[in-house]
Amino acid sequence: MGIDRYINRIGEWLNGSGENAGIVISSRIRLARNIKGIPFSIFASERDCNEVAKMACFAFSKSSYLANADIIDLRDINDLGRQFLMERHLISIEAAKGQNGLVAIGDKEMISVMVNEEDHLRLQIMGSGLGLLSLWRVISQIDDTLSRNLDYATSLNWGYLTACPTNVGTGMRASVYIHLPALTITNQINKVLKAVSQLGLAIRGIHGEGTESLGNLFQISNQITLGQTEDEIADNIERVTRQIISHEQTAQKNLLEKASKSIEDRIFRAYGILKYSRLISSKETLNLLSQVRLGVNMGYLMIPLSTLNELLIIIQPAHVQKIAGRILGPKARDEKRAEIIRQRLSQ
Amino acid sequence: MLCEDCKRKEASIHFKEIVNGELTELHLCETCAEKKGLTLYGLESPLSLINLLAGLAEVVEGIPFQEETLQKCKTCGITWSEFKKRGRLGCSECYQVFSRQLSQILRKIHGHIQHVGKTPEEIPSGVKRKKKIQDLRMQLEQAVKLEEFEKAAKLRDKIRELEKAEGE
Repeated sequence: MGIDRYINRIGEWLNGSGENAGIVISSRIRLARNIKGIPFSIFASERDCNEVAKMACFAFSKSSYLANADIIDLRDINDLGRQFLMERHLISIEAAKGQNGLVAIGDKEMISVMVNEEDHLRLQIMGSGLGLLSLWRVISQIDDTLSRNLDYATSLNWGYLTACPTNVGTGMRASVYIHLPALTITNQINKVLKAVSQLGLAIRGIHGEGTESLGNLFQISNQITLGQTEDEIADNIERVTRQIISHEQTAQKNLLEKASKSIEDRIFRAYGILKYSRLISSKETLNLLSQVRLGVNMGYLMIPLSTLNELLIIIQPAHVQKIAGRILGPKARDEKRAEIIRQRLSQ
Repeated sequence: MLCEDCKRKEASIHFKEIVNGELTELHLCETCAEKKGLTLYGLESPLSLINLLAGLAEVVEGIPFQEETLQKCKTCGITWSEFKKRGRLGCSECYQVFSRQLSQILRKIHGHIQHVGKTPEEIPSGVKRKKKIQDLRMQLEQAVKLEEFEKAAKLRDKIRELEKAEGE
């Protein structure tokens, strides 16, 4: 029933396929769209929001990608449920906190559309590995279908109009979720961060603080949405990401040549803790998973990438509690988390 | 260094961002940073340009103060100073009402003021399509009346195409 059906599934975007999936966990594109003549969501009345939801659902029914989508009214689910959807990257923090939100989740969790978030519609597509251009083709097609049934707010000069001027133009935010352990270990990550930001792209740690990102996981995304085509935006990020991947690969090779025993030791210790611990925090898990993933990339360990990707999602607090089937305090979560990890790694 | 916002507490959060070679810096204490949504934890860390928008909106030039404060969007009722506070516009009409200020801000954010990506105009919207179909039907009737059958056939095909497109 309800969102519980998602508990034992994993989104297709985590299946570990696609270009450079060992390093790039996933690619994502988000499009912001609004409907003409209705105040943006923050200023809209409940009636406006209901109207937007009705129009959006009708438009979804005309799209082959969304006609069978699972439509969830966020008002119907509790905080834990919203956090659970957020941890799966299906809704944003804003939508989780919002009041009149709705989300349509497409087949295999590749596509989702948030309704009445900051903008009336936020279309999102995610895929495994590096592949922004191909994701753009699919989401653009869905967007075309929706635009036939929704009167989008646009302007000749400024393109798609959005609640925040930082999204105006294409309304597109493209990003990759990337794992850079060797660049971090060899202290080169700051150089990468700086170089990327000079290119008008944003890079940030996903979990934790600034450059000392937990789990060495980063997100690279475009800052600019006006004055570049969608293809240019996607292509830029793909090119920059390929450069970073090649630096990461070189750093991994150097580590193997210069410090193979200590790296090997580090990887197997991390694997040992994950495999046998009885209490583990999410912070520790993320850092150990990073070592293990490096171990898989270097050929020391044979674990499917899909398992490692899935763990990134299901070790988060709401997932741990959903899997347990009840609300757990921090200590109990650490215990359940350790159990989930042991079980996944012994499969 | 003192917090740039409250100017009382010590700034402990230093935020730098480079966009198009231009460096923006922000030094805040934890309380003010939190108020601006600049938390350092969480999945979607909002360490982004959005929070600096208010700062950008302060430096709009060439618009008399009074005109600026009195200006109000008729559709949603939002004023420019409200935008400055929240960093969000009220509706799509605001882009016309505040176009002078916004074009300066958009240039600062994006370095461009002309959209070059896709537009939905390429595809007729539902309303536009219905109107187009109506127009074509009238032309079709006319053509049949005048016994211009070749033209009528073409028009019929066009109508069918448009009607089919409505499904997907």
